[in-house]
Amino acid sequence: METDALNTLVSGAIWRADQLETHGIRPASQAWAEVSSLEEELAKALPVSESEGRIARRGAVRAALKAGDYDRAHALADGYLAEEAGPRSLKTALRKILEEDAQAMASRFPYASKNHSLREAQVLARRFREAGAFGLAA
Amino acid sequence: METVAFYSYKGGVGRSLLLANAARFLATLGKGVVALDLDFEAPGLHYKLAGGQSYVDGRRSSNFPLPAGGAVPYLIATAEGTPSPPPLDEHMMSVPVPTDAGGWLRLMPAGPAPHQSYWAAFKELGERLRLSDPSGRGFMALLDLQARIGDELEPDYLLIDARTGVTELGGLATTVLADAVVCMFVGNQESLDGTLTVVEALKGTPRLANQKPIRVVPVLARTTAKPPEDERFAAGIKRLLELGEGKKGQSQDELALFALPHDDVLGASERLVGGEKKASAFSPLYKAYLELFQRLFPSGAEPAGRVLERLEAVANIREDLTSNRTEREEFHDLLPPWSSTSIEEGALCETRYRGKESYADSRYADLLCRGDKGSPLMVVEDVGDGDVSAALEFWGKFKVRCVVLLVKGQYPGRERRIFTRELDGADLHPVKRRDLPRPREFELLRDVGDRSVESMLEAVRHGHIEAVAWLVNEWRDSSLAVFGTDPGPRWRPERAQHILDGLATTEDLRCAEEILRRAKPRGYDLRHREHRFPGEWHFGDELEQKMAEDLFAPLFWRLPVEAVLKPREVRHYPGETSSLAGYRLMAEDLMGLRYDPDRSALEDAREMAARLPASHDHRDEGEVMWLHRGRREQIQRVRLSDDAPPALVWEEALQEEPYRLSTLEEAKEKVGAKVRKLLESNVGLRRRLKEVSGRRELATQGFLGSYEASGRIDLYPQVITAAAEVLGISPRYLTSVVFIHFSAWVLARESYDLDGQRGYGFAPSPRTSPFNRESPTHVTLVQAFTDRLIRLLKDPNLQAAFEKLSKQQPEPYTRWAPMRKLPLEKLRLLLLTARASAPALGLPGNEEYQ
Repeated sequence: METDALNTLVSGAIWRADQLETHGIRPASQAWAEVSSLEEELAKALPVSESEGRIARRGAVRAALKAGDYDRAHALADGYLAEEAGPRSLKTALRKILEEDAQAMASRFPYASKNHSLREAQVLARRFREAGAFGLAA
Repeated sequence: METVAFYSYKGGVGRSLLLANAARFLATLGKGVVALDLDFEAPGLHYKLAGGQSYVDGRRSSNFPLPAGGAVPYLIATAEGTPSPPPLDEHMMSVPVPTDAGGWLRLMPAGPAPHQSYWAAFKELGERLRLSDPSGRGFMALLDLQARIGDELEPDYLLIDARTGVTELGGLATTVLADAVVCMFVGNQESLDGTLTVVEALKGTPRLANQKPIRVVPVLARTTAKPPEDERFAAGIKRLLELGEGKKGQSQDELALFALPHDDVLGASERLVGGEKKASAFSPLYKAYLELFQRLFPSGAEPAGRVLERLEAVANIREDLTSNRTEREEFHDLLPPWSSTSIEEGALCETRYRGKESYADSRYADLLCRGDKGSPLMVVEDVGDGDVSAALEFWGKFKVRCVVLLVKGQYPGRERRIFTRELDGADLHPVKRRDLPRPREFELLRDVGDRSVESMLEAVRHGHIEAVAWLVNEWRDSSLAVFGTDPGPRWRPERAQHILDGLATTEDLRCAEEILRRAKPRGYDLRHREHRFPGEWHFGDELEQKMAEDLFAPLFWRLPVEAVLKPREVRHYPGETSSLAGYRLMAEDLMGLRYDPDRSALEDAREMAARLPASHDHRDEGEVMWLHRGRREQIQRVRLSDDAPPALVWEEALQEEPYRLSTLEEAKEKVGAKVRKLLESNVGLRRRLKEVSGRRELATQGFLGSYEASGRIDLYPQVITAAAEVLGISPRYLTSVVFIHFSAWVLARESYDLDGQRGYGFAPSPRTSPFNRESPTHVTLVQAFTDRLIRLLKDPNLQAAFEKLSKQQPEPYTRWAPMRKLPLEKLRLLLLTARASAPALGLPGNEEYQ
């Protein structure tokens, strides 16, 4: 797909997700998931050396976080951080996005976050999702 | 904070009850405990811990306030996270704990279940709290609650009631929140298989970074019988123990499964006993709880062990107090145990003194035993390894008569230390007895710790019949020299004699009867023999014989005649000893004759039957009839009579008509009323007897009693009492002397010599009259044997009575004194001669039988 077309779709998707979120409509996370997918496609199409490519990478990770798909967000971020050509500023920005999100979540669970990292909870949640209670469905 | 989750694969295993007990137990040990009900689908922990409040018409019906909140409302508020979560207090409640150890217990119930509002909230929570949410918020919400409890309340333990089966919340509570999981199951394959699956999964579940490996404690619940013993079940249990923890088995290397026995009472009532101080709560289930708690909560293991020891010791004491014992059976069958209602458990006792050095103090008694009137008689306190002297100091002021302290000794279990004080005594003093005093003993003895012979004899003197059995038992033990029984009775002949002499002075007729009943052979219970001499009671017959000869026989003569004459039990077969021992003592040991009333009865019966017409069809029947009639005990032929003594009748008759000789019956008819009047007048009777004794004519035969050739003996208590007053001796001993005198007559006549002959001629005149008296030779011999028996009995009272009486008697009655110089063999020979020659000399014989 053409990057222009992708940009158009992304803009529309972001507007739609913003609107849904503003109005407190639950499936906003699905809309943000769409945004993340489109941004990822854009990131694939645009090299990291270009500013638009770096924007798409940051957007893909941020949208995944907004969608609540933390596994995906972390997977995308890990992939982008591993790009050798990626400038230091991008890597810093990606790390900051993840950190800010974690801090935001931690602030909502002040007691738990003193003892456990959000990442751990997310890993357990994924395992729970995949293997069920007690891991018996694995 | 340690988090322990209580889980069961199947419901109905007593999981919430165990948790509630554990929570209360820990709180009473001084621990801070939070109980969290995460069994949202079937919440009920608040029923166990908060006393079971219920809802009526949508309103709580309870004295105990249940918060409107709970875990469900709290998690709704925090499911997606919030920087300002609601206060915990709004969702928790304090559970009162009976302890002064500083512990506390707070409950976060699931919510106000079963109110409708709870189920509405529960539905909402299902929508909000999504544990599988990839953001991890669901997990974080639960972890946040757990962490907040730890941070804000700082409990030592968080106990979680986890949902039964395989559920999201149950899985999360056990795998993520818990440090240890108690997995309960019942003894069937289905429950075991499910539990094993879950436990294996638990052990394989990854833990959070700062968590230790999970501890799993499998517990077999509600066992009523042995679980299945097939291989599959056994293999499952073995696997469970490999994965989890158990208790030490019989072999120290082996682990055994914790098993909670089924308890109808605790289980059905869902009663909380954790932390209970009362011994009555100490059921097998509670004991199992404590053993489990010891393992489950390492920090509370030592206190739990102490509680376990204490409750076990107090429960044992309580059982001992309320149950019949087998030891010292012959004593304790008369002493009922304490009734349950007379024992107060966990009593707080206070002492106050308002004086110069006023004080007020209180102390906890594990058991307080009260008497009939409610006054405290005995306390039991488990001191453990505490200060015994402090306990004694307090109980010394409390003025209780017996204090039982349970002290931790060098051996496992508790050592009993018993302290007593005299009635109204000042100081408690240690005593040697180890068995616990029964309530009746507090009435029997001034000091229940003093079960010395003297103390027990004192009790008998005060009419306490129960002490008799103990004394007879002690006499027996002191008279035995038994080898091979360790600890066995010791041979203490001096003590035995002391007991015998003490018993012989008994005045109370009930006690005297009881003494004879207990001392009688066959009163010795076979069960008792077996108990005291297991496997060695082949000497029982000899023992009975010894008792008959050395205890019963002397007491037969020395105890009040009224008690001796009470109808004894019927003998069941010829030769059975029973009360014959007394007579045999005189007949065999002194007279050298054989007293066999059965043989006499048989001979008499044959003689009587022979007189029946030859054509009589039922000759045998007649013989048997006469035999049974003749076999009446000699003792039944002795009676205390209100009749007028023949001597007095003759005196009166001869005073009125000095020259007329009639029969006794005619004389009685004539002067009977006058004699009866004399008997009723104590002063007149004494004056008359004084005159008679002044003339030295107070013959035993005729005045104090009478003996007929048929064997019948009448004793005249009114005359004997008056004569005793005149002579200045005890009527009781004078009666015994008269009884012995007439018994000597009977035995001299009825006993067999070596030729199998009875002394038919040895009898008083069948036609008693002033001119037809008994043979002086016979009287002399009877008095000599009376003297011999009294000397053999070594009873100073009898001896004094006999000597004082004989001084007022006619000559033949006093010749016993020179006869003392004769060897017994010589006396026996004289008796044999008198018996054989009596008919030839024309002395009264057995003509009434001819």
